[in-house]
Amino acid sequence: MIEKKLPSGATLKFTLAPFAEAKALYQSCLEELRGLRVDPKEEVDVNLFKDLFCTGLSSKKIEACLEVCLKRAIYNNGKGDLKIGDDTFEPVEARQDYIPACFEVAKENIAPFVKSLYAEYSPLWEKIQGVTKGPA
Amino acid sequence: MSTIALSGSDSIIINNRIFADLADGNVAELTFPNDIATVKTGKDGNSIYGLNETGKQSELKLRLIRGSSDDKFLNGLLANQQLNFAGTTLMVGQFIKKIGDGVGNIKSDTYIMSGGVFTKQVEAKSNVEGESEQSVSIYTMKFSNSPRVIT
Repeated sequence: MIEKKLPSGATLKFTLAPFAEAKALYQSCLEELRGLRVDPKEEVDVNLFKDLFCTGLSSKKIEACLEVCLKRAIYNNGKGDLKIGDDTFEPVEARQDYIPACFEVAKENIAPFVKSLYAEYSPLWEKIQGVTKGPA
Repeated sequence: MSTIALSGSDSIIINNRIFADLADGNVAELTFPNDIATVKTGKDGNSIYGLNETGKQSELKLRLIRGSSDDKFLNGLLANQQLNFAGTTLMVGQFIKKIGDGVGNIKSDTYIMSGGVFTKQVEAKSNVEGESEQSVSIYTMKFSNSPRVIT
């Protein structure tokens, strides 16, 4: 079980979702982030992060897939380990935990899919960078 | 004033896995089959009391969707137990009931289970009249100790 501390001091505990549910989340993220423009010539700037957050947090598709993964999560704000449901983030003081909780669950569920991709595609990435920079 | 208890969204955790593929009806049932003490009253109302340690044992029945991820997980543990009983790692778990008091306050009623083993195999049936029971896997396990905590 993965355990994370949330901003309010509450604890989030969760188990990874089954393959199909985690894959659906991964695919919904890819689908929504496809429109994001990353220019290798440009430095990573604040606009990229703005687009990343706005796209990710406003997507109903990602939210629906996340809800399924959140079924295997437990939130403890001192009242015991309680399953995450519609009323978990209803108290105003708990709302600050909603986005970090979603982010942690998404990150841990998606990470196993992309772990090997960096090693696999880093030569391709270097090639792309070489093309865009032009000959030295 | 009457006391109110609203219950729902209970959680089942076995070996650090939060279960979500629960089926229908009594999806999790924790029972204590033995008494925790015996009392015998004899002549002139003299009574003898005895502590029954077996009363600590609990039995958990889980109804899971057949073939689901949680079913596969428990089936793996069951297979390991069958393969090497002496080498089995005993199961631990939590059964958490979420209780509301009707004015928005939530409490949790938790049974902390330890020393668990499967006591029955998962049964199967094939039914041609659309009985839904055939798509449910029922796991029966016994725990040596299951104290209850209310927070």
